[in-house]
Amino acid sequence: MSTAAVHDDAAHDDHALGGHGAHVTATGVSNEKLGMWVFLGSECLLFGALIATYLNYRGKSINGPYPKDVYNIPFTSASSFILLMSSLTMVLALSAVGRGDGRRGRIWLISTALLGSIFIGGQIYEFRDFYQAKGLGLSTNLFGSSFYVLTGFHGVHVTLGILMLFSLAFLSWRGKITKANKETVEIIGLYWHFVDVIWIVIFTVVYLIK
Amino acid sequence: MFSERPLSARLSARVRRLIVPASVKSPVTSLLVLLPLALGACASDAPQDGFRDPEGPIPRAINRVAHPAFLIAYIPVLLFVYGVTMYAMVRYRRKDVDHVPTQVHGNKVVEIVSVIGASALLFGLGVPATMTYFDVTEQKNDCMQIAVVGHQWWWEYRYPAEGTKLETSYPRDILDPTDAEAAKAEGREQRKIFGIPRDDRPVVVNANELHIPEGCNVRLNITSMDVMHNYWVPKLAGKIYAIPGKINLLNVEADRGLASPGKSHFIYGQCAEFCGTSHANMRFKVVVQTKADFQEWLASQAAPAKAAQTDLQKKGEALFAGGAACSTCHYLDSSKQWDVTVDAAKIGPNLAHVGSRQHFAGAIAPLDERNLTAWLRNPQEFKPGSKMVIRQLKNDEIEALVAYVKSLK
Amino acid sequence: MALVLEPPTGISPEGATAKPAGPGLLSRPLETTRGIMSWVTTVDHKRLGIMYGVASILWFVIGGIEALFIRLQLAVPNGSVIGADTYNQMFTMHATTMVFLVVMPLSAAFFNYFLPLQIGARDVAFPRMNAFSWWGYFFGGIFMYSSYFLGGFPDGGWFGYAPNTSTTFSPGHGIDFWIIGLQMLGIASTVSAVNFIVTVFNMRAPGMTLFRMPVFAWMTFVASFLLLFAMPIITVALFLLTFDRSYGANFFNVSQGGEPVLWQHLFWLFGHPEVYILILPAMGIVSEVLPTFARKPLFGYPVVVFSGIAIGFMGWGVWAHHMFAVGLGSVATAAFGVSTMFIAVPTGVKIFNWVGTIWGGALRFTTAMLFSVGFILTFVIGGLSGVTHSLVASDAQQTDTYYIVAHFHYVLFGGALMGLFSGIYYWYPKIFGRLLDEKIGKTHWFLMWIGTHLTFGPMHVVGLQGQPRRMYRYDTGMGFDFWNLVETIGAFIIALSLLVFFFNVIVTHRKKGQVVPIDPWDARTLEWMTDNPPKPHNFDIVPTVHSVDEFWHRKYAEEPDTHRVKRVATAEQVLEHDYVDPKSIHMPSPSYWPLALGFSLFVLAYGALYVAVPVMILGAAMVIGSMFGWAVEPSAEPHDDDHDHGTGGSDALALTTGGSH
Ligand code: HEA
Ligand code: HEA
Ligand code: HEC
Ligand code: CUA
Ligand SMILES: [Cu+2]
Repeated sequence: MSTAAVHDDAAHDDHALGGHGAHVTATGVSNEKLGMWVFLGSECLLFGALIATYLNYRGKSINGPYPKDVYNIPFTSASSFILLMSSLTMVLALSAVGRGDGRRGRIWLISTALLGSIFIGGQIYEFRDFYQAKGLGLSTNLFGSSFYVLTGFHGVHVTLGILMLFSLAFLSWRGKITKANKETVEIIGLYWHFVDVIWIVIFTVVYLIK
Repeated sequence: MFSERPLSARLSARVRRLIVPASVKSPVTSLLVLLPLALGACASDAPQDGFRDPEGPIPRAINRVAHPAFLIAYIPVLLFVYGVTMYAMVRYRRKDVDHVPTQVHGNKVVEIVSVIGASALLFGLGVPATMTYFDVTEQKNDCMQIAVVGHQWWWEYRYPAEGTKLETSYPRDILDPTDAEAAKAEGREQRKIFGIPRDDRPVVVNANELHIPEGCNVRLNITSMDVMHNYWVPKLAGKIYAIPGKINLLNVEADRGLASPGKSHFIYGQCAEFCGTSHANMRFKVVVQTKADFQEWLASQAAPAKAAQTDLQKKGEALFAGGAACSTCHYLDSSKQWDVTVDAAKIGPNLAHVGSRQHFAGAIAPLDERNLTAWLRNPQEFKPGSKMVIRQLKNDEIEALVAYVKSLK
Repeated sequence: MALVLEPPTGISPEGATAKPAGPGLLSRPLETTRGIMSWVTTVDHKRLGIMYGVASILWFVIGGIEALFIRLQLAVPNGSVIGADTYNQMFTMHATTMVFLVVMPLSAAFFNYFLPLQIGARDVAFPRMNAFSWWGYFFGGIFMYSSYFLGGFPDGGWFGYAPNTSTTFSPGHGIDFWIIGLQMLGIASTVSAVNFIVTVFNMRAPGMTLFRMPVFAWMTFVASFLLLFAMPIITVALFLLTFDRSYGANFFNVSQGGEPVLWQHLFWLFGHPEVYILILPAMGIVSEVLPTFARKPLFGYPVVVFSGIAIGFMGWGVWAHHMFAVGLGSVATAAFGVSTMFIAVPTGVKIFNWVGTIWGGALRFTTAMLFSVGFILTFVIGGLSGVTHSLVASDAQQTDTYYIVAHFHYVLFGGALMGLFSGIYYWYPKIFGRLLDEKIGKTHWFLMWIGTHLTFGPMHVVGLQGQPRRMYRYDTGMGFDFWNLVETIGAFIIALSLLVFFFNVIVTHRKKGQVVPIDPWDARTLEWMTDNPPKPHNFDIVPTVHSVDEFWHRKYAEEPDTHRVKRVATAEQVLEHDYVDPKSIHMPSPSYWPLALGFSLFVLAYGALYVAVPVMILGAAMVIGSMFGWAVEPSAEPHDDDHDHGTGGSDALALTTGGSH
């Protein structure tokens, strides 16, 4: 854990990570980055199991409301699009940090976090709408249980991502994110892209498949 | 050794040819098979032993897989591994401190032979095992169907009152009675609930003792009303889970000749999946009868129970319906199946003809005066966790109730 | 997540001082911290290894005493030592303890201690996360056991089949303790899996290619992947159950159409890989011990490694063999039967290669060696009964009987634990600088061997005679009486053997002035190329590796023509090197944050259990606080560019210091 990704050495010596990576670790990928990849492998199974649960219970609810009674596809498509766009801003943030452009980097980081927040806002709105206006609670039926748990888990992941993005922006503002330790941004970016991609799968499975 | 059923017979021949060399005479086979069990108690003392002493064609077919598995895989491989290892242990001890052996890093031939050898052995086992599995689970031309419903911790049986077939199903449109008022008040549709297995045709219900006619394949439609159970009669069939919301099928068949006219044959059964406090006390008996006896029995179960005769019994009858409130939980009408949407309070076994049973309370005890008295004095002491919660009865009340229960033939 | 919140500590000037004023509440403890605090705050993989070992042995005693209660109750028909409910709690806690609090962490003890040493690293990739894993394990176990004082142990069996574990049928909090305790252990295991995987990928010494790694390191690697992918599945299953129990969801609620079989699929999709997680480390240990005491390289090293990997892969396609009687449909069931059967091939290959290793060797029967050979000879019995289960037709009779109980105790106790004990005897001098007494050790082994077969052998017989498992009583006249009594006697012989073991430990540590030679066993691998016990930084000079069994090849050489093997150097000569100033090697400083984070989870767990929102908020706040504290904790390392080292305790250490230049 600790500090290697944003290695203090790196601040003094560009070789430490980028240039002579092979000297640092046996694979040349930093521990932190590799750790994130490995962790995301585990996350795949987490979402895999949740999605499998959802699919298993698709169309098996005894009581309504059923998916067709509650979904507002245009709305969710819009918020999905917003989340997708946040991946783009994330890429821009990384490239800005990589160029050493801290200000731009911050702007893009905050945009990413804000886009994510809009998505979460949309999800909260959607949950309220389903629950209050359409009568779909966690315990109403199988659909309610599997829908809220799957999308809720994803929402929690996005929320954590947003927290991390804001922290990054804050650190950058304090001058602690520089070109040399752009890998921190890259690692959080990995996480963020993962969460986005998973949403595409969930969106397709939950909202689109008939 | 050979079953009457043509398919099993065909299969058994095939299996034998495949895996038991013709030269191995049957006594030798069984001797070797019994080796691991030679240490076991003799079969007559092991009433739950389907491995050596099956009483139906299905476990026998299973044993035609299980026995050779021991014979050609378990024992030889074990002896081989033990043999080489122990030989090496004795032969290759270090001679002195400087003794360094030749550095062998491996041997391709050994690896290839062990992969191929092990695979071949497994094919030899797997093919007949799989065939047998399909055979014993195949939907046969059953002579009768009986529904089996697991409850914590007893089994309910439903026999077809007319004909031989049942229609056990899980309807998806049962209205939840507990939601009736709320739905009316809110002006919405009443909620539906799932998980109530129903037999749409008329049934005759009893508990704990499964009666079957000998010599024919009976199909059991097995399910559960609460948690998972596992229905197991080692001498008649392998296990199958009783799962709420799902109906599993199990073939059971008892050999002809086990019962004789007027005399039933009792076989041990046991719930095998952990299902809560009294899982160990969820046993049952299979009562094998001749076809004629079975028909007679079924007719007697379908008829109403005899009315109470003696004063004591009459007192018990009154208590049953009144003071002791037994009838809150127990039906006395053998056509009533367990269904909480019909009567949510009726959670006990159907007692219409309880006096005609040999065992009760999950077949853990013979149904006699002493045991019934103990049962009614404190069901939870008799059977930990039992769902039969009653008030403390007085001795004379118990006496009367026991007399009445025993009279329910 | 804190993982990625690492700040650029190097930039803050405080980071460069020896005693930094960290931004958190707690400043980083000094490397010179002594006594109990040095253990509480340690991030040293070797100390954590010892902590794992000690904790798991303590839990082993507890889980074993639970087993003794089981055996006492079953010693005679209709036993009355403990009641039905207590019995059900006993086997649930016995199994949960043995699997999650004993065998997994005892394996983790060896992973921790020896993985870095074997691959020539100075520590694991993420030392603080490593410490957090231990705290997660420790608090998870304490949490689960606290149920005893808060309403009783869980009693749903170790695979907690729904709907028996739903609030309808288990209204108390026992099951919640089980669920949330397992969640904590799951977090700890996932984190350590990530850690070990990255360690293997990244921290290998120069020249240590993957196929030069000792087999134990390989099995750690494979088991870590299994953990990585298996843990999230049970996490999901447990979450679904929590949502059902605490928030009224319907996942396993049959009256709304929920399917209890889904729980089984999720549990066993985790559970089967789990059993290989339990056995692979032991197989790794055996693969180290046999060559050492045979003075011969492991027979078919690449084959053993590949079959370990194959077991890892195949383990994912067989889970439904625990569900043969569930009624999945004949085709699915038969298919899983066949896939299960073929796991016997890679396992068998391993067995044959171990036998090949001792064949033609120069065997020395130390206690460690006896346990390893004992492993082969007991494991094979369990493995073969596993194959008889995989014949689906016969499993219909065997499942849920003592025949299954016999199978898994042979592989778990006779297999996994025997292997782990072999490791204890083998590596004890490395860890503690003392040799366990061999005579007492052999007595331990002998009693344990006898006890194992007396306890678990007869279970085959009563199982086939129809004794179902998880029964708090059985009737007389079923043919069970005699053998159950024998099993109980056997269990007490095992207990005796363990008392002998503890006696051995005490005797060993009371002996004064014992000096263990550098290389007591004439070993083969890198962990022996340093002191006993190793210095905090493991190696003064990280060795460059040229082959499998590097240490051996530095001691012995083969004459090309005659293939005779000659000793060319003593261990001392191999270890000789120029003086290295230990101050030039920077190891990660201790930290409070792993403890803080583990404790925060502990608080959160109670909040979640009682659905006490304020406690949950407090716990969550503590978790987030600890993560931030963790992230901004400065490394207490002075740095100067002359030393090409990593700071803050991590990766770069092993590869950039010492040996290669
Ligand atoms: C260390 C843990 C471990 C290991 C390694 C294994 C290994 C195996 N297990 Fe076991 N198993 C458990 C732990 C383990 N198991 C547990 C805990 C349960 C019960 C869970 C519960 O219900 O509580 C269980 C239950 C279990 C079942 C379910 C039984 C039931 O509940 O109905 C089955 C069914 O197929 C099975 C099969 C196997 C097989 C085929 C192997 C194979 O991997 C074994 C392979 C090894 C060999 C075969 C021996 C060596 C090979 C040779 C010498 C080669 C030649 C041999 C042949 C060609 C046959 N196991
Ligand atoms: C690694 C796993 C592991 C290990 C090591 C063991 C070890 C033992 N197990 Fe266990 N067992 C399981 C895993 C394990 N078990 C599992 C998964 C189940 C299934 C549970 C379920 O169905 O849900 C099970 C179930 C199980 C049952 C079946 C219960 C039932 O179905 O009703 C039995 C019965 O005999 C049993 C016995 C034993 C015994 C006697 C030991 C012995 O080997 C134990 C030896 C240890 C000791 C004896 C303790 C030693 C220490 C001392 C004695 C020190 C004394 C200290 C002082 C005096 C201070 N186990
Ligand atoms: C709260 C509900 C309830 C009440 C009231 C109740 N019972 Fe029961 N009864 C049960 C249940 C549930 C069982 C099954 C218990 C078991 O086997 O675990 C049972 C089982 C029985 C059995 C055994 C049936 C068999 O075939 O195994 C008898 C006999 C019996 N009850 C008699 C009575 C009598 C007499 C009374 C009145 C004093 C009574 N019951 C009151 C619920 C009840
Ligand atoms: Cu029903 Cu066990
Ligand atoms: Cu398995």
